Amino acid sequence: MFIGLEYVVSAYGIWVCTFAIYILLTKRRLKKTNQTVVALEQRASESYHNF
Amino acid sequence: MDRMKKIVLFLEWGSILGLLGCGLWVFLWTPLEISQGFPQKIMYLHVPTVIIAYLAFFVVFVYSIAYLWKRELMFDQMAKASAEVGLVFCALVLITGAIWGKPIWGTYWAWWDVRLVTTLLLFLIFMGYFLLRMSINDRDKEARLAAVLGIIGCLDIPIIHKSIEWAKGRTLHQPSTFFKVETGEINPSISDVLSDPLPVAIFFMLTLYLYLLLLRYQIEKHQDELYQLLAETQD
Repeated sequence: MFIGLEYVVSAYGIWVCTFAIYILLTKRRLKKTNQTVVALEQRASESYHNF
Repeated sequence: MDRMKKIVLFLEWGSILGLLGCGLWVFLWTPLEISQGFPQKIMYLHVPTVIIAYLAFFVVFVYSIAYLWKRELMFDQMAKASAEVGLVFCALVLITGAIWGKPIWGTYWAWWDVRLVTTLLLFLIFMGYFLLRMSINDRDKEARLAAVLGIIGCLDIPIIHKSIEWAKGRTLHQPSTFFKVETGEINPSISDVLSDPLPVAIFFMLTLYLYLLLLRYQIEKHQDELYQLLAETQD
């Protein structure tokens, strides 16, 4: 009944792992760019007030 | 929580739960297909991945034309976001297809198979699309040239789709399971019980694509804001 199970497991396994890693990396990238934008905006407004 | 965050969260959990449900349906309640046996289950993964990869590159095509026409950065950001997500789907099309091919065709890959080679070409064109973007410093020039390459790359999609009809005998792929090749009429050659999970899997993979697209689009938007802020602070 389960002839070829290893192919099915590897296809589904690779698919799930790829998207899990891709989603994690994309979320991390979004968080980092978001933080950098906020920090830079803050620095820009601080230097404007100091000036 | 703003509206965009709510939509992203809804798409994230909708796609995860929906795809999990599809997996249960495919493995617990869908019977085994007689001729291919257990490896036929890969169809529910491979076919929706192909359709979403096509869709992602079609979105690149549309937004690239829109950028060349209107020159608005938002169109280029969407095209770039969709190209990256499409590239991930396209890589998985090649991998899952090769794995499915081994038990059914007896080989992972055949260089003489027109559909396999044209799909690989699509993947390589969009790899080139990102190399091109990385090699140009001028933001407007980058967007312009990438849009042209994006449009050219998408022209490969109809070639992949029609390759089985055009290159008779030079492919391991079977003709369409759901449509008559000559007339294009819907004519499924598999039973309903086997084909029913497929549209549902396509729908939830579409929600996954939309989720990833929105996530990537936000990154692109922030990155352009960042370049603008950096340029302002340097001034």
